[in-house]
Amino acid sequence: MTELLEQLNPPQTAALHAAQRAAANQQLQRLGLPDQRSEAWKYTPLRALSTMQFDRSDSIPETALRQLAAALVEPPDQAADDPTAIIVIAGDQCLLVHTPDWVQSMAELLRTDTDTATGLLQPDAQVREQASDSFIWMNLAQCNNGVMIAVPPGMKLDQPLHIVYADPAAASQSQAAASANHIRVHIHCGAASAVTVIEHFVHAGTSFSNIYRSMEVDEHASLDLLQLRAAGDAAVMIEHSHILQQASSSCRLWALDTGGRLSRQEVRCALQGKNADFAHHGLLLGHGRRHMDQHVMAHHSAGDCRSRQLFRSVLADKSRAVVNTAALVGSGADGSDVQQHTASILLSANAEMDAKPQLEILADEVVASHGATIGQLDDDALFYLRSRGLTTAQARTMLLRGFVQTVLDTLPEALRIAAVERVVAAQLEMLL
Amino acid sequence: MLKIKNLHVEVDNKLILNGLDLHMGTGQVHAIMGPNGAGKSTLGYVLAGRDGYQVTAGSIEFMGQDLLAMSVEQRAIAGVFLAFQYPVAIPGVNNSYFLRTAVNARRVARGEQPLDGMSFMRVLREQAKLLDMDAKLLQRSVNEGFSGGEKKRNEILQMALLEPTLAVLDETDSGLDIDALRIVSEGVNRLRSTNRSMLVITHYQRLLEHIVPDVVHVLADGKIVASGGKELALKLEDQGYAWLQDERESRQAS
Repeated sequence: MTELLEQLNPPQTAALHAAQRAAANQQLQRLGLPDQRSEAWKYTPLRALSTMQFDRSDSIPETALRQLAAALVEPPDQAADDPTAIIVIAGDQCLLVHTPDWVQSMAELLRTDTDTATGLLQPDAQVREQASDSFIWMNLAQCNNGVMIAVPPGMKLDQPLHIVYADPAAASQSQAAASANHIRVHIHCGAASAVTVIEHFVHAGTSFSNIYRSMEVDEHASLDLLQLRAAGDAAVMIEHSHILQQASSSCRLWALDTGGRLSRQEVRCALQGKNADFAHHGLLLGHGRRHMDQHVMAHHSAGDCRSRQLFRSVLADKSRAVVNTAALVGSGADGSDVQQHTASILLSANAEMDAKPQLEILADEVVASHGATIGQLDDDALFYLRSRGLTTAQARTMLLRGFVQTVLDTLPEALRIAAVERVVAAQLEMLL
Repeated sequence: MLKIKNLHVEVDNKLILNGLDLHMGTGQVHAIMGPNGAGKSTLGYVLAGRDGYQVTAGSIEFMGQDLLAMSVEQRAIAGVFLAFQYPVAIPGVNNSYFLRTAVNARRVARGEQPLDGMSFMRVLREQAKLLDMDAKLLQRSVNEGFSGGEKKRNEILQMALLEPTLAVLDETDSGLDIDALRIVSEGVNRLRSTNRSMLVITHYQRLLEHIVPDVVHVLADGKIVASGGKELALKLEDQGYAWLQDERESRQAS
């Protein structure tokens, strides 16, 4: 693992940031990378990452980035006035297409706006408390790309914003050198604003993406974030998403994950204002030797907040998923409402699911439930469908469809996009 | 239409059907009655082709074909339909989508054009109305949260849509109140036709007051021990199954 650390070279950066980066790097060197002795990484080997060799990749022509964006994002309805806003993040390039002026490229910020960039290179309170997230420190030390989205108070967007994460291989359709990118994403939703963001992960070659996302949702604001992870077999994605919610805010996440060589996201949501809503929905569809991790922690520190964690996983071949759902209800956070449910279907004897629901409740008046099931396709249901004339393949597809539908049904209208259907349909076909 | 000869079936190495013979003509309605554990439901499952029911001897001929050589779905396409005693709930699968897939699977297998959504919904609504079925049930997940009566109506609805040659009704009366029993029976009676046979498996005579059979068989210890007209069902209702046992023992003794 030290080889990986030795390969890292901080990008060129303004002198003011250099000290911050050096401090983050020191923190990283002190911590080293996690291994399977630590509980959070018990089921997640980092072999795939430690054996990667990185090169500085060539820059991608802008036309290729534009094509990539156009292929993924459907044009808006004819009736809509605004063209679709797209942010393409590939290698150390960031392309902004039709974005409003409150969307800024991190690379650009690092070069020009020193104060904002300095702020973004600081760990947030949750990192400082935990201090153990090596990958976040690595991100802060190495950050070479990203985006800052600051939705003004009261602004309500009809069209979703799209972020496309790609590697040179996805953009040039050819095999390129392995790339490592440390991407910083910050989304700040001003009071009473509403925004929908769709993230597309389309890495096609060997790549390592280390994403550190921070999201602040102010009073009465709402943020919906859909992540469509449909990367290639050699992509490694390690992500941290930290959410800070104020009173009466809403933050809903959907992680539609078909994995990569390894894809892992740790979500920590701090419910700091009363009457806030947090929901994380995961749909993990694994095949081959893919590995997917979702670790979610909802921390209720104010009263009357709701958190929902709903996961459906279908694993074939030798794929593996780790779903860790946790909620901590702090003392005094009365009226909290916590629900966690994880259900998984294993289609192969070699697939593995590790589910860990956790509740820690220090308040008095709380509604909380959690459950986890792991099973196979129901034989009775298969027989029922076949007895109506469906082939075994049709019956299996229908049952899996029904199983994943529970998560898809939670998508609001704005997120019922063709890309979701495309990814789900293609992946279910792969699984059967 | 259906010829079952000397059928022996084991489940988990336990002999359930022990030399069952049954012949049904086209357009006939036969009732199978018998005590608990006699093998009534096993007969239904074997006809539909469920896994785990091992045929160790005997044969089933359906419309001149070897039924036992066919897969579950081949049997369905060929016209065998089992109305389940306990219909299975399938969360997340829209009922009308499921029904259309089933109808079209059969149409395509028979070289017919699949029905488009609009034409299918027309047929579906019409049939559901005949069964006094709430239209909302068509848009819910298959059988999920349905009451006992709603599930049975959904079974008969499928039977109406799939137009089978042989319908096996496994304890369709169980879990039904008097009104539901009447509606479901009327639904079944509407589907009686000269080219459709029905095998009505039931524990009680009351269903046969609504669906009047041509022939009644008594299944006990894995074989048909008595056959007769509908009056046989009345006698069973009146005297229970014990007299059959006595009769068989005295026959064996002589």
